[in-house]
Amino acid sequence: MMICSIDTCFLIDWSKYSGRDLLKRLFDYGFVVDEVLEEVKSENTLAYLSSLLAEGFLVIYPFKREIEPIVRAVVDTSARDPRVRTLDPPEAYALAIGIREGAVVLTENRGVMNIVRLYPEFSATVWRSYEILRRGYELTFISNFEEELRRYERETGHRFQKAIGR
Amino acid sequence: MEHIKTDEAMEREIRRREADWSFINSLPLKLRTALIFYIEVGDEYKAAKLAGLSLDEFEELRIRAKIPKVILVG
Repeated sequence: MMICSIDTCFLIDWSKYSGRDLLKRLFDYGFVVDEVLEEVKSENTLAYLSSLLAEGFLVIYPFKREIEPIVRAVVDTSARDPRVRTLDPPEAYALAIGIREGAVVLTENRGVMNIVRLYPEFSATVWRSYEILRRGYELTFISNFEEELRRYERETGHRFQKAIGR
Repeated sequence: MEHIKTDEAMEREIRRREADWSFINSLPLKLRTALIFYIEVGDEYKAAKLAGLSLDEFEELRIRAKIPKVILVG
């Protein structure tokens, strides 16, 4: 069973993407924290969130208090280490759920990427939209990977850029 | 550490280059400051708080300002 933990910003991005049903093909369900509801006001995003909740795909994480020590640890670490951008509540909770539940963390947040890379105690699988689209392509849910990347860029205001020296 | 700095600088440069500066400069101070913060730092949660907007409202503004969310891939 594949479970994901979804950062609020990520969910907002995917509400704009016409291929957003891919998430439901790759994962059985996804955890979010209740703060996500406070950060959503536009009609489009609310409709998407509402449909995912109604279908039972999105689950409001019920053990939030239990993961607060992890949230505190990742926020403290990120605030102390200049290599890691300080994590804010949405991504800190998404990461903590990923660590606790073994869920794939869906986020574009650089702070999360850096802390997972630098601190083995915060080990978790982190996928950005790029990794999700690539996984969709590998499983043949997407026929043309490059075209899909361009579509995602257009619809969500993203830019996939090849990094220097890799 | 160098690798992280290089990646962040590259992302920032793309955001600066592609932003619609005439749109950004036409906005009220609070929104303009938040967008410039996003261009420089790439952190939409803090930028949304600066703007006094919800995250999805800020995302709409970011897209209108043509500031891309840059994802570096290997």
